Amino acid sequence: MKRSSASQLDLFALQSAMPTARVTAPNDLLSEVTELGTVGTSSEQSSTTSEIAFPEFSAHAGTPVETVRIAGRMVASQVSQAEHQAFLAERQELLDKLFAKTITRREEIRLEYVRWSLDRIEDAAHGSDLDRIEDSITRYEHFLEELDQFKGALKRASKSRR
Amino acid sequence: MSWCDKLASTPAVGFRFSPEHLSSDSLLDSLRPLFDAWVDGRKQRFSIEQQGPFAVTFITEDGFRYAVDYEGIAVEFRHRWRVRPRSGSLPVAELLSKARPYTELLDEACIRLLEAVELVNGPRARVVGRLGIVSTTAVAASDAPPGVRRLIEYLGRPWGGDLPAYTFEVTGRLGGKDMTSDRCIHTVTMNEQETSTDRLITVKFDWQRDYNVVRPITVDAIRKLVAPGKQAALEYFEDIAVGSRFDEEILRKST
Repeated sequence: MKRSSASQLDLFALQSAMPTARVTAPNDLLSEVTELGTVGTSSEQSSTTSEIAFPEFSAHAGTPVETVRIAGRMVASQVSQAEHQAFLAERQELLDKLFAKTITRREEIRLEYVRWSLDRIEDAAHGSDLDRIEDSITRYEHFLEELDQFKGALKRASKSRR
Repeated sequence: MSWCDKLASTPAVGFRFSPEHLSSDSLLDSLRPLFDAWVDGRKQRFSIEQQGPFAVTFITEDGFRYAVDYEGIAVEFRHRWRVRPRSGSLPVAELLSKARPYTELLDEACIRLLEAVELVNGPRARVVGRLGIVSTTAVAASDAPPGVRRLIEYLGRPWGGDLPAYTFEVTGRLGGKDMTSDRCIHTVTMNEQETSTDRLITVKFDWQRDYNVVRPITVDAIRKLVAPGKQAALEYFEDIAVGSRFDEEILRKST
């Protein structure tokens, strides 16, 4: 039998082939900038379009970590109700021992594992929704930040032209 | 259910036999019933990846990769995908293999392995040297089972933890009984990813059972080796994921 296998999830490559979500600038903003560029290049003043960094409005791209999480959630969501209940019962039993101060070191470590297992099950049920909310917030914050920078660049450019 | 199910781990399973130098053409001939079954209409649902003098590797469209050579047969699961073009738009990636729990994939890999063993060995008895069961998991460091995190912390302590990148392989003897001895090759890898805050690690556990009996056995006897081997491997993977083995307090008490 082979001693080593390069069975890295080929799924990673999937990410590179997938289109990444990007927030593009609204059309009216784009046309504004095009006009500004035309004025800038025709002017003898030092203000040119090249000095104004046009924002990319880039959302963060998906990473292999996210892809792996999605794959894990798809599979973890198939955990049976019986197993979920068994983990909950075991956690309760170990917590009872913890509060009674009769827990052994091995049981403490087991408790950590049971908690991790329950986390995975809950993550499979609700994780992607929470990630989507977090992603939207991050994208919105990033968009605002880039818009602020762009406004600043426009102000600087108009001042230097006066 | 194993922790490997919750992290979309992928399995591999294989037997090592006494060497028998059949040409790759003979191997392909003996495996013909499999190829004939993997046809949809006129379309072949498999592809030959490699063919050497005494070895052949092929993969089915749904991700089961067979490696057959003069001393062994292994079946491994790999996710497969293809890029499908779309009209007037960007191409989309399409997963050909199904996302299924590790234990389910392992069961299917075992069935496929025994099927291939039966076809290659036929009625001949062969000496079985080893059974191997592998679990490969790609996971963010923060999502890894507590035992794996503990193992990484344990090994990183001399450098103050928080290692930027690592690859380590440890082969541990797990004891034995009834003319068998078990061991496991643990491989944990993390490449340097400066830009990523949440780093991805690859964890591979290659559990192996060596049979110290040199008597050749038939396929029916080989079949009986799989279930106890699978159970022992899954129990060990579970033990590693819990992580008591890497706890300093427990280690101090046991020495």
